Amino acid sequence: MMSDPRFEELELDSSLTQLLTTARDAPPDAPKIDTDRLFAQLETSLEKERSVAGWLRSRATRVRWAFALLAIFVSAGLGLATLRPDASVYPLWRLGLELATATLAMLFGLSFFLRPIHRPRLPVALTIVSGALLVILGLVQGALPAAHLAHTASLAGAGDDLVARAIGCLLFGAIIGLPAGLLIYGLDRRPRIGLLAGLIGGAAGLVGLHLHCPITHSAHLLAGHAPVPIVAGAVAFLISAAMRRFRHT
Amino acid sequence: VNATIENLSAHRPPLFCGPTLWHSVRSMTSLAKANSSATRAAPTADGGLADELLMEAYQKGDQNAFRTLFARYSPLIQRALTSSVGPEVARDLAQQTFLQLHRARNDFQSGRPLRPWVLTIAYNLKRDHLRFKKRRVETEIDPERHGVAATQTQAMEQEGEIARVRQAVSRLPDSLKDVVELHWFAEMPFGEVARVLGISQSAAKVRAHRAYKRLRELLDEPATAKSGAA
Repeated sequence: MMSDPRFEELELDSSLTQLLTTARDAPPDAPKIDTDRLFAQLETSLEKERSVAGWLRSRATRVRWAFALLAIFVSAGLGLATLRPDASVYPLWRLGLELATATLAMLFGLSFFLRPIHRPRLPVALTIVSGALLVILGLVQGALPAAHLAHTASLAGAGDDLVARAIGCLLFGAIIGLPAGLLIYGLDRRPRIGLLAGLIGGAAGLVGLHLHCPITHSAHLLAGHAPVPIVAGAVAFLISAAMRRFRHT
Repeated sequence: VNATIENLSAHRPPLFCGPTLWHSVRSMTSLAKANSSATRAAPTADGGLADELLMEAYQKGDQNAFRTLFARYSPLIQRALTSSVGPEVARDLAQQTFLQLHRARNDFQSGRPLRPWVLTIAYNLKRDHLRFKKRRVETEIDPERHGVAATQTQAMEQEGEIARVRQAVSRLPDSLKDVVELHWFAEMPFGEVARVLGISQSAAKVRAHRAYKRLRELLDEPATAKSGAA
């Protein structure tokens, strides 16, 4: 038994080698199941993969990344297509910094969400951190001093107007971000909850909203912009939970 | 000084390598590729195609290749995971591994070994399962868990030593158990074990050393207890 090179390297005793060999070579303690039957069960699962979602998640990881980035770009692009009227007076460095921060947070989140299962697993804490970054993204933007007050459109959304405009922005951001979140969720190969995918989509919606809405008032940003990723994440979570329940039934 | 410079120049490769060296490099590269292909194309002990070639065939839509891979890897995965999750869940995880393999088939790169690729999927699924079930890593021996394990493997108790070894493995901390399962039960070399667990090869060896040492202690425990009682 000691001639086994794996144990020679570790210099272990022969009795342990013998015990482990016996355990390894012993038949499994469960009743023997026919491989053909197991494979037939697997084929039933594979039948369900013949769908749009199945096609999406079986793409190569670089293709899945391309789809996810395209979805984010389209969401943000909707905001760009209806560019904020105060764009000419908005400090360019600040806009660049805000967009760069949001992009990095989304890429960070995507790198966990789209990480292939055949690669060694990363600590769960990092996934939580990536989700938290996406949540605080809008809060930080709202907590900063107003970028400018040099445009009449930027002065709205405060006082009596706060709630109505905040709800409008929240809906706009969630509506343009949620499809991206759901597409990203569809790219997932594991049966996970859609919270992180929704947060990423919501962050894309936040970017689109930021490129669209000219209001720079802090209260408006905190009430109408910052909750966009949270709302999108919550909706994606509920939809994913419903879909999982539907699949089980 | 001049003699030294001449001596050094004689041993130094020329800056411009010229066509001779270029041809040598090309022929060496071709040889390496040929060796690699030969290794991958080499039939297995049972006379079948190598796993990597089967995977490439499956990528091209060959369902029989998938079936052959399942027949080869399903018992290996079950054997490796049984100590951690029990035989029923191990079987379920083996099926899930192949569902994931199907989904990730376009990510498999030609020329890479398949075994660590598949086992990484299996181990990530196992960790997901354990996290979902909220099973904690136990660094110390838990008599209650030992009791549960004994109940689960009631059928194995008649086989004495085998049951004892499997119980001892199941009582190892997860980080050590993974190494034993992959190194011993899945018969993987340390390089592949390290790749599956995302650690360095030396770290895998250190963990294996600790794992087998701890295993020895766990296996000795009942004997010590018996002698103490006597």
